[in-house]
Amino acid sequence: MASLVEADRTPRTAGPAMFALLMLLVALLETAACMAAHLPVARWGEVLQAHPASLDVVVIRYALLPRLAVSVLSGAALGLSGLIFQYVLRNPVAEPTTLGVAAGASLALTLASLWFPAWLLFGREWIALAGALVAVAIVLAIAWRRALSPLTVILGGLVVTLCSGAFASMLTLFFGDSLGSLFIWQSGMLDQNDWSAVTYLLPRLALGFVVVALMIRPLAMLEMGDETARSLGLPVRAIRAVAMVLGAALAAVVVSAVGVIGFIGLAGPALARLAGARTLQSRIVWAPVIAACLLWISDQTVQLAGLFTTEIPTGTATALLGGPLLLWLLPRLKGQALAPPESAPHAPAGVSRSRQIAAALLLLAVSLWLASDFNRSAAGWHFADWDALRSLLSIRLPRVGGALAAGAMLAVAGVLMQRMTGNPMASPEVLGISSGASLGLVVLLFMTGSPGKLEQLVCAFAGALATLSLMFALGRRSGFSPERLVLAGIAVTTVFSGLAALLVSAGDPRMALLQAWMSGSTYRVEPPDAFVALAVAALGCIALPLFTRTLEILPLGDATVRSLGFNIGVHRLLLLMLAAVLTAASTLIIGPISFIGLMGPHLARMLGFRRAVAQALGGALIGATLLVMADWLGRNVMFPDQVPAGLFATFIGGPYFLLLMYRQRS
Amino acid sequence: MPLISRRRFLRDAVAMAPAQALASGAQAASAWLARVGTMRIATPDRAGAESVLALGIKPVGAPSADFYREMGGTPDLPSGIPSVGPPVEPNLEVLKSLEPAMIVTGTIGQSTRRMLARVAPVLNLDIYTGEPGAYGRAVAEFRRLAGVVGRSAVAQSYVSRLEADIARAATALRARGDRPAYLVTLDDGGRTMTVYGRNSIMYDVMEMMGVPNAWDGRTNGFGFMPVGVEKLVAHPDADLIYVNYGVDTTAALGRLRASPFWNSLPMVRAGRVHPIPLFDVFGSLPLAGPFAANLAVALSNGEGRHG
Repeated sequence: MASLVEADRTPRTAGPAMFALLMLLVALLETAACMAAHLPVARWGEVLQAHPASLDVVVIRYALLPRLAVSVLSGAALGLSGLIFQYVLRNPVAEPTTLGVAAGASLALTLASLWFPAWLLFGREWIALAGALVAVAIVLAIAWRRALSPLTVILGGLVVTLCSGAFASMLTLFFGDSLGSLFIWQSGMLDQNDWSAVTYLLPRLALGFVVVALMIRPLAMLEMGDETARSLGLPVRAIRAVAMVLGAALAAVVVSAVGVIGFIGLAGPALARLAGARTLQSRIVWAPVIAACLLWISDQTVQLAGLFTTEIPTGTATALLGGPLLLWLLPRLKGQALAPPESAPHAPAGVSRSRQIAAALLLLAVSLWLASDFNRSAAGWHFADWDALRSLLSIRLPRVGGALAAGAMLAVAGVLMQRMTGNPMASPEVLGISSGASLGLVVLLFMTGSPGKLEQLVCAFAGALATLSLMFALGRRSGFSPERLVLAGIAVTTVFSGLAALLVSAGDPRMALLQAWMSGSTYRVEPPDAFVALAVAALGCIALPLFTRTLEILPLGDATVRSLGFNIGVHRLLLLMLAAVLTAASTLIIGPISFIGLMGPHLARMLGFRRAVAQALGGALIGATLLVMADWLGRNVMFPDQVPAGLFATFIGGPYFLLLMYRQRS
Repeated sequence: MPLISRRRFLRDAVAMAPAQALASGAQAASAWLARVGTMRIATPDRAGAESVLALGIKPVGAPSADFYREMGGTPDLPSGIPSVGPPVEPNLEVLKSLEPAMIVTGTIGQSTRRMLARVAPVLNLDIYTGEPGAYGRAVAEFRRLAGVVGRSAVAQSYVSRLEADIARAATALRARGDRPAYLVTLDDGGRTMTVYGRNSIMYDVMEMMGVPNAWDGRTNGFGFMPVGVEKLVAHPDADLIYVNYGVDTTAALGRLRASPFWNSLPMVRAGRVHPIPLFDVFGSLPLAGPFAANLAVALSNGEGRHG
């Protein structure tokens, strides 16, 4: 009876409370097991002594317990930060990692420790906060005009994260070993040997909670809608801005203390809501609690596993969990405030523009000529004469050819994906198809130590096709809502980068090949590779006209297409396979990230290539030009050091894409 | 290691014409040998540069001099050697313009070596295979390199001098007993460190000097592993040797001195925590000499001070 009454009285919080209790139980059991491995249970009382003498006790007191406290505090901070972002942006998947906040904070700390180490003495959190705020500001500036549409916010966050990542990779390339400790820190190891991180986190987190508590009323009033709130005299934008600065500050404090811990800020609030926390008040209580328990459990699991094998950084483990979690959450987010899908680019019938084609061809020819002839050497920039050139061409041409082919293939794949999904943001990188191809290679590396080029291509193709099919199945179920597709793509990318980080931290020798492959460099392109890539690119372009009709009517929707008496299944499968093979071949050359697959189609459309096939072919020309130029600049600007073309394209293309998003009006 | 004069090593090269040349046609091989005779060897990574320099050969291309020095490369890189770019991706065009007869590497991965081979034959010092016995391989590969460039006698005397040095350094530590020691790099945050163990050259040198390596956990192919500082508790009575990377190390120690855990460690309380001057932790055979000497100094100083 009593329990029934209780349940009646607190119908809203019993769910999340029970759930949190369950998690707490798991966490405590794991902690007990972990502690018992270090100290017999009978001696646990000694931990409370004022000055423990025995070393076993000291370890518990000054390493294990502070680590536990840090995991709980960081988890709570990330949970609260995630909740604030999700609430304010009305976006169920906003959180420090997906918004680029963590990446911004981490990049700021990297830059500071490289060039302004003295600044770190003033306080790491201020530098981290500056980086986090810059990232938020960029994302918001872009999304502002589009009323902070969830898709724009997340896509902006993704691009900011990728650009910061590309920049950090460039730094690793040049500062290599001297940044070693920085990258250990970034991987999110929670190891402690005193209580200083706890005393650092505790007051800052407490302050955050106080500010949130003060803001509950105005925040809750936002729920009535901006118009109503404004008519009541609430400064809606100011409330949002303060809340977001607070969310960024919480994330920045955690990044500065323990590094990047991904996806706890996503999982905590989501689990709290699934467990039944609906009102703002109950979510503010339970999201941090559940996030804290989640990081606590993750960290103890990592430590328990570390008793038997190599311990992996906790941040790596959560990133690895984050991807599947995101995928699992997607179908459960129905009915959440997701903005309606943006309309597909309904291409007005454009005239084929011979002048544009000629200009694009000329541009490509000029960049090919520059890339192969005008380069830097020890003597400076110069055109090589024929004799000097002949000996260098064997090195240069495969790279130029590889870049040409990869750029063209990525752009064509991008157009195919955008047409098939009716989603203007679709591309091999954003939908995670390139990461899928990379996952295929990881699987291959686990099966055989030194795979041949053909095996690499086949496995990359299989990975790309599997991912693309998954995206497609997911997309059809949700009517190709751009949010869901992009989020699923981010999930795949997350799984891949988590796995890659895992291999790095385990010092796996297979990592060397994967790292070379991921760097996005044309360095390892040999003449046969370039020939194969060029052949695949050419075949892809030649095959395109066969699909002219399919590509034009696909965006009309399945029902319409079927009513036209068109067997869409076969054509769609063929197009999927074409997109997959193009992505796989280009990923082998240029790595998973480059933005060419996104930029090529958009630029082609802006230049007036509007019909599907024209857009794909024009995109191929533009993509090829972009990547050839990126490769050329990458080889020369920091001579004799070389910036991988993929990184260079990301570094240039990412901001460009952000600008494009900023200019684009809804 | 004093550099032998160019004239002398040219003479040596002629005197010790290599028995094992490339087995591809006598004429091609002799043409190739003629070029090796002029010692045009490029070394895109530190491990390769170190072994080549130790044989008294000045490479025609090497890693950037600043990078080499900052990471503790030994012997010193003579000035005026052009940089061939970062070891991750050595610049093939620069390498080609240097016209090396051979490229010597030690830590560059196989996929990159494939590309280097397009410029000149690559000799890789196969030291870091992820198996125990890195020192033995470092010696064997040093000898193999010497054989190829026709300087086996130089290698012979180098190795015997090195082993005598190590043995002498070991005698200095005889009174110390066989207490194990950790060898680590402290990260500036004071929470994590890189510990060097099995599969590293240092592991074997320590073994030869009667100083067992205290780290019995796993290490990667290069013989190291990033771990939390609290893992030192596994062998609290061991000595702790940390590589002195300057500012970072100072920052780490500053933070650790405030840590109750650190101050409770028997090795800290007994003053058995010693710096060792910077050396190339991912180098080739030449790292062994300075490491052994400095280890002996570090450990015997400690004994003197703390009884």
